[in-house]
Amino acid sequence: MVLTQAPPKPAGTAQPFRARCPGVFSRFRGTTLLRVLVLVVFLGPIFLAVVSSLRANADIFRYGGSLSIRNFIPIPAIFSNFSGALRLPYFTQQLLNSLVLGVV
Amino acid sequence: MTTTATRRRRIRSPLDSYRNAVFLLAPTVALIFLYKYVPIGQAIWASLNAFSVAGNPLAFVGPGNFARVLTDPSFLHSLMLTVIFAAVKIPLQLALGLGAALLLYQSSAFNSFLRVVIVIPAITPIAIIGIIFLFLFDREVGLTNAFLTAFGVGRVSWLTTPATAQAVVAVASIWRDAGFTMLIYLAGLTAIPTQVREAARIDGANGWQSTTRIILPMLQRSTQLATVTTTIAAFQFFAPIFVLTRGGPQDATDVAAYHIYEQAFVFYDQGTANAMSVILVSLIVVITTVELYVLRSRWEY
Repeated sequence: MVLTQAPPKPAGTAQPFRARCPGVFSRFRGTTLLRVLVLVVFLGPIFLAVVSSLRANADIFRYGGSLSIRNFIPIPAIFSNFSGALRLPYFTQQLLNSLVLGVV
Repeated sequence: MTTTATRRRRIRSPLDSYRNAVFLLAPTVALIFLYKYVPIGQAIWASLNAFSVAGNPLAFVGPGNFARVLTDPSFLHSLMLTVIFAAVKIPLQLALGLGAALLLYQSSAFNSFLRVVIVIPAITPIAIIGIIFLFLFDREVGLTNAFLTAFGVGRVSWLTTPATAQAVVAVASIWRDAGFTMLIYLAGLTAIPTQVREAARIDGANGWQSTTRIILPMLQRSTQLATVTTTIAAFQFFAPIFVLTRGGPQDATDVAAYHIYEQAFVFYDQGTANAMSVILVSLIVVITTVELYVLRSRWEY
């Protein structure tokens, strides 16, 4: 009976993938961070506008100028701003005007 | 047989084709002439006349309005501000748009989502963007000052200090238009054949070399289009200033378009406003012509 040794592993195989390809991970971190930055910079102001539309005026001025959680999450969320806007005279007509202009 | 031959001759008649072309093109040409070139002609004519406050022409003054406008320090100041604003906006916006396009070019669900996110400001009404930035940079309730005070920095009067007001207006403009620039570059990137990149990779080019020596030169046409459209937008910049600063503080954001608006609709000086408009449009035409020539494509693929 002849015992044969297992063929030697090629050099570097035992190393973890992270050690073998450091560039992949650093690039992943960098581009992911950039993507998150893009998300925050471009969506942040729009998100804040949406949050403000769900808050009462008094709330906006009470917590404005601070890093209160209420500036980022509308607690409590109110929808009266939307119903108020739709009840404004001419607002629905103005929306319709914009729609007609857009279609034409 | 004879009838068929006659009909064939009629169809091929160049006169018929010419008549058809005139008939089909006439409505479009008439509309373009009526709504594009007639108003331009009217503006040029108005720039050569003096008007009453009610808008009635008083007298033909020839180039008098131009002479007065070109020696008016406030208009020259607004032109200078516009040029500086364009000089800041154009490179920053191109860099941001190109960077975003290179970052988000690969197709993945998250990249697609981010592409939509970057384009959202470009499709948001510009008055709303003005209001968003008004709230973000308000001295008392703005979130920017909330962050600054959290880090121990005092509150800044962003919109009432000349230098910071100019910066806020520039940021709002770049933030809004970067999505459009990114779309131009994404279209350019899509048009680059994959074989070219693969050939560069096989030849041993790394990411940086491939980007700077292959992709950027091949994006020359996109850069040309993006530069020209950004230049025109920068020189016509008006709405965020109208919402955010009204040309202030101390005329620090009184760019040419806003200055012309004030002359026409606040001071009701139509002749002067039209002369300023003609000068601004001429400046835009000259600058974009130079850009088109300097950035002309030297690549065919």
